Amino acid sequence: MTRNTPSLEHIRIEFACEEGALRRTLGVIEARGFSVRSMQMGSDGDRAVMTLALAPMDASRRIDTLLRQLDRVYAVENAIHLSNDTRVAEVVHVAHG
Amino acid sequence: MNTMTQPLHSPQSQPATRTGAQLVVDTLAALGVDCVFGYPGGAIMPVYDALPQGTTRHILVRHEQAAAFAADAYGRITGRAGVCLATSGPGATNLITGIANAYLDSVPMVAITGQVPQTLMGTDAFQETDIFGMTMPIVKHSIIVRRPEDIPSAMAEAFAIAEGGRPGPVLVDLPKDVQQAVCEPGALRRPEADILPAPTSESIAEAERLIARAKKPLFYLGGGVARANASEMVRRIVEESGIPAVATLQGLGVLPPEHPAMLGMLGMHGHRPANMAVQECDLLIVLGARFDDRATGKLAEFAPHASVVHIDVDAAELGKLRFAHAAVCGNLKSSLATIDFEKGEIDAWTRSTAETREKHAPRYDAPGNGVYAPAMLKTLSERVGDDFVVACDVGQHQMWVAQHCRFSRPQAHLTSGGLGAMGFGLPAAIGAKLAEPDAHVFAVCGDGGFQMNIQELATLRRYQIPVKILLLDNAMLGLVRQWQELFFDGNYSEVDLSDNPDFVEVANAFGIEAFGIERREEVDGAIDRLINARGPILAHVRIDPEENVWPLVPPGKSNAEMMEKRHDA
Repeated sequence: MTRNTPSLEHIRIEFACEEGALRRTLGVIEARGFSVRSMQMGSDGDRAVMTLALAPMDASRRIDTLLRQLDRVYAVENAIHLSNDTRVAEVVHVAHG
Repeated sequence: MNTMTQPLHSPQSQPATRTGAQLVVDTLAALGVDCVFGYPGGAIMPVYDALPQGTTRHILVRHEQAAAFAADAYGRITGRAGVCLATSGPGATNLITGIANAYLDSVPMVAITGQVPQTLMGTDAFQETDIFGMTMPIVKHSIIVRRPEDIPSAMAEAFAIAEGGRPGPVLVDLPKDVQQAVCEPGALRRPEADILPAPTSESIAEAERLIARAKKPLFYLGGGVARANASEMVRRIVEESGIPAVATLQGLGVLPPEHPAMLGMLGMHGHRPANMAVQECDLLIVLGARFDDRATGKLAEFAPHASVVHIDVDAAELGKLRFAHAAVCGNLKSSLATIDFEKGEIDAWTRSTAETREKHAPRYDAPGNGVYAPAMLKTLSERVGDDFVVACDVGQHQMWVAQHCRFSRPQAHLTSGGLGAMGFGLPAAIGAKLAEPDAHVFAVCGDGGFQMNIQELATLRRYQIPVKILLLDNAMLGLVRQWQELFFDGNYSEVDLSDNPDFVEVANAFGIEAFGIERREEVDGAIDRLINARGPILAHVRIDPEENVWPLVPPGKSNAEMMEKRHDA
């Protein structure tokens, strides 16, 4: 029996390091139907950047809708979808602050 | 967010120091909050100690959930954030249902909770709950204030966020040591209103192109029209364009039911002309609505021939469930002002919808001598007129209110739409009456929902709030019974409430005037007595336990598959 593995979506989120921001951001991602498969985060104290690989729960979950839902989080300054070309460079960038 | 600065105190009364709790009270006054709903307890006691020195009126409810529902109603009516106040732990968790209710219906609210001292946070202290974390999925924003000098600005930010853009609830959690600490009061930094996104010229042009081309356009009015205070503007556009309209549960009242363009409510218990029009239209012009599943039925078969113009202040709603051919993101009023509603040839369509509306007008000729609730609700709302405001619970009576009452504005219809929270009616009516003292405010309750916040009869009595309660008692959890009858082979499981108390005696025990009726000829007299009562009053109305709400779209089905009442039964 074969099982369809949903393709991963990669996003980058920049947010203010205020109380609850990380929990709130990850909560939106999971509550809206995506599971976090990998995550890297860097911070300079006031501001954080993270890149995530997300798996949608089903085919109806759209990454552009999730990005707009993340934009509603007050601490989030920017949430963008990473293309295949950019995401490797992004991961390296975040990992090195 | 940009900020404006204003002094928290006048120069003559500027104190040298204030406690955090005093700053809470000072800030409520500076923000113009005239009324809060709450219940004291250990971790919020410093604020309660300071409250009598302030100018804000406190309404002591008998359960924190009622404080949240009352604040919700206050916010729906005024457009300003309703405020509820509770202690930590169980006080805070009792607010949660009300906060979720405000979140799902986009209602401005600020919930203030006491918290254990910061040194005890995270230690499982007495009455400690992580209310900040627990409410994250159901608030627009939340703040733990860690220093007393931050209280004024944090509260100002909370109100600005709650009321701005798409409204919603904001939680402010105040550790007890922050309430007790002393600081030098600074100025109040008030955030300026968010600059809302302006719709793009491309989206406006596409909307105009679709409207001009459509042969069967239809307005789909949601709760966002009320939240944007855009009812008058929408009414004028509907009248000038001649385009017919349907409304969601939250959009009722934008157009009164007698308006010639109004086809009724769409959805599971919607009016047949409304659902038929949605299924036939070639363009849906969606104003402040979010394609809720109770409105759409089976989404894949909803409005199958329609292109969509979707106008909403919240970008995240655009395209979330239904693709928008023209996605217009912005304040509803300014977006509508930009669009030219130059329509195409739609006369055949408007004639057709008008005929359907006439053909499927609701009937009130129910057999028997018992009270027919839909007829009573219709008569009541028409007798009271434009001052009619109703807050209801959830269930059959809620749908009858939506289907049969006349609302002249959406703020007159207070209903728990997204969350569907039983127990909303009575406390919401209390909040509504305090927000709009000149209105005739009715709580229309079922016997199930009424007993979920029945203790608020004591609040009515204490403050002599002249709310009129219409209790429709079928001795059943009626909507669940109806579903069990229709979709669970008549297997009636745990819906019988025939051992209800004598509600007239209960009301009297709380000091509330009350009377009961059960025959149709008593209805007019009961309505007169309710309308003319000067204080709080309860009418207990026995209705047929087997009466159902019609029409009904079975769950998961298309809105085209409406089940109807059989008049030959």
